Amino acid sequence: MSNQVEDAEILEKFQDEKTRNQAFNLLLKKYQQKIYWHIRRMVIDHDDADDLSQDVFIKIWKSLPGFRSDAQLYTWMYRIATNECITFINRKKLKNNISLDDVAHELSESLADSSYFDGDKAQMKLQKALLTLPEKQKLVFNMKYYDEMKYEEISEVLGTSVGALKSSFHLAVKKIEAFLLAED
Amino acid sequence: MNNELENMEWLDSYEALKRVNRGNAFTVPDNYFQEKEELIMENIRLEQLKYAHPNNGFIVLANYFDELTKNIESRIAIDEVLNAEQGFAVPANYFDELTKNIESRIAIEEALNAESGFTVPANYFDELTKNIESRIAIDEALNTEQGFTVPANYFDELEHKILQSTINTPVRSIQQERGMIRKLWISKSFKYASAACFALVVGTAVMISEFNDTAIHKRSDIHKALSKVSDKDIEIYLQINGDTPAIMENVDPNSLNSLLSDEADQNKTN
Repeated sequence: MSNQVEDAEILEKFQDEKTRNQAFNLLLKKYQQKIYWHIRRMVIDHDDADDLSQDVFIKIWKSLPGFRSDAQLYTWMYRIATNECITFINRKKLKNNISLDDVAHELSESLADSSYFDGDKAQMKLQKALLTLPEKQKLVFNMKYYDEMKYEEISEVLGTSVGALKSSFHLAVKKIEAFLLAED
Repeated sequence: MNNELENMEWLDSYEALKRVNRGNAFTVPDNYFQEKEELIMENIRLEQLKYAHPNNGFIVLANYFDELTKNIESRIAIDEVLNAEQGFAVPANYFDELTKNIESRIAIEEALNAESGFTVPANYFDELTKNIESRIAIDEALNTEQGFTVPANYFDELEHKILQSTINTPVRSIQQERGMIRKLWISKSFKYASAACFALVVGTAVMISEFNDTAIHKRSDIHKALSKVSDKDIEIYLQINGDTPAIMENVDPNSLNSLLSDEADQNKTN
């Protein structure tokens, strides 16, 4: 994900009030789907992901004037999206007064009933395995497995050290492997 | 393990996971991202409007909020001063006792109302209502048909006539009403004639009083009584009772003669 130049161009245009909307439109085209899928893998349901992604981009637009270029733009946006996802899941737990396991069970059923899931049996098993993981391990696994992000980048997103991330990731992969093997 | 292995080749260690298709199993509705992009941009424009017009189009004067803050602080300070120095005070526990007093009064009033002892006949208030309504109906009938009538617009015409004969009549002078008045006493000749007559009357009266001694004698009771006594009786009286030689020595012979002559004249006229 070496988009430094393009990100710099987006940020430059965003500073000018005349080209601000154009800059944000470019940002949307470039990162909309990435952010959406990152959210979707966390919340599973399309409608929830739809609402959250919209909220995330509004928040990005509001916060972008204060963005410091010492961080990468996309990791900064991932961080916003991640925080929104965690807030959403925690609120859902509180609202329904259910445990994390129950949330996982509910999301698993939602996945099975979803008309917007087109995976095969193995992919369904993988998603169910992911639902058994703690939020942080799931986040690390998703960013590593699907987005192929480096630990340093994930570290920027989650604000966790690279060593801790490696540990979390290996724990997550071992659990998933065990789940897949057990299911098989 | 270098970065490449760390990031890309870790999957080789997990056979079951490696067999899973890494492709995206999730789908979205058709044209979702295109429509989503437009929707987000619309929302962004709305947000821009909100930021561009934070007061929803309402405008306030420059420094309004600074002055508003000062005004509010001044008002608070004034209220505090007024409250602190209002001068009114009540005794300690006044309001507690007031509450008790009020409650006692209420209890007494309720007791009195509940056991007032006064009763009215059955259906009294129903009949009272009917009686009042009847009285009102009779009064209304009497007021509307009192028998006396006046011609139509009588009172308007009456008012008009009164106004015509009073306020609307032109004012005539009193002098015109009474005719010509001649003031005689104002003329100088009349004044001189009156003064001359008065002086003549006064002068005549003074003259008569000065030259007529008999008038003086007439006014005295002693003279009147002595004038009726004869001279001879007086001489006899004096010879018997008085000191004649002494009297004769003190009497002025001229005045005695005049007196005697006056007496004689008086007797003649009588």
